[in-house]
Amino acid sequence: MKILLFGSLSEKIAREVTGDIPLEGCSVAALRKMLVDRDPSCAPLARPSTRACVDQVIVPEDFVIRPGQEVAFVPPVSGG
Amino acid sequence: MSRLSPVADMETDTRLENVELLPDRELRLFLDVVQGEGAVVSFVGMTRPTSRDGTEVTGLYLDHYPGMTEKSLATIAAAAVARFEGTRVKVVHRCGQVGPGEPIVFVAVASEHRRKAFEAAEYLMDRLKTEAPFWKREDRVDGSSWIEPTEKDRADTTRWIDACPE
Repeated sequence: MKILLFGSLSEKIAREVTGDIPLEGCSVAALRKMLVDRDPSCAPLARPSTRACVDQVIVPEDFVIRPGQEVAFVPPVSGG
Repeated sequence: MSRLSPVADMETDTRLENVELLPDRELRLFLDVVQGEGAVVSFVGMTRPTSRDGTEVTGLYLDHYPGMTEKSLATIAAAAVARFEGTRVKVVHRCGQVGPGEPIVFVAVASEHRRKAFEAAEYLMDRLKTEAPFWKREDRVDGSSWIEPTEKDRADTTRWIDACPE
């Protein structure tokens, strides 16, 4: 599935990366680790200031993502 | 290019646009829907022509999260109407490439009396400046960098929480 990236992350890495969520789900922390281990260019995803959004809501590190949910990583917002 | 996502109801009208924002036109349209409120306050945020260190800025790029950003504008506008009862609110925000000195945000508030309208406009701007999911890249003559919110921006929003917890 596609994982969306915004702001500086989209410039440093890509607009989106692919990653598969197992049927039993996976935590935000586990997903970050999987993406960074697989591709070192994803290192900015491991930064504490990078937050995960699931179905367009910012979620904590232990949130369990289920297959089919919309996942994004975002840097701190600049605001309007 | 066209309007991205109009969200409107009785008291709030919020819009995200990737085309030039025309504040005079937005104010005119807002005045047309005002129904007897005696006070209208409007605010226009413009991009600055220089960065904090004085370097010339060639443009600002606003990245946004389609869907989430529009929802955030609507949520902030609804919160303003809930907090400042009897107000009518309009927010138009740019996304994409914005030139130096161009309008980036337009906020208008109508209310029975001016104080509430001024306060609601300030509340809207404080929350938009810190919470709205935008990521700004400042393009300067000597390079580009992504901007993060300042402590001052955070303090401006926090004061509303301190004043009256929601």
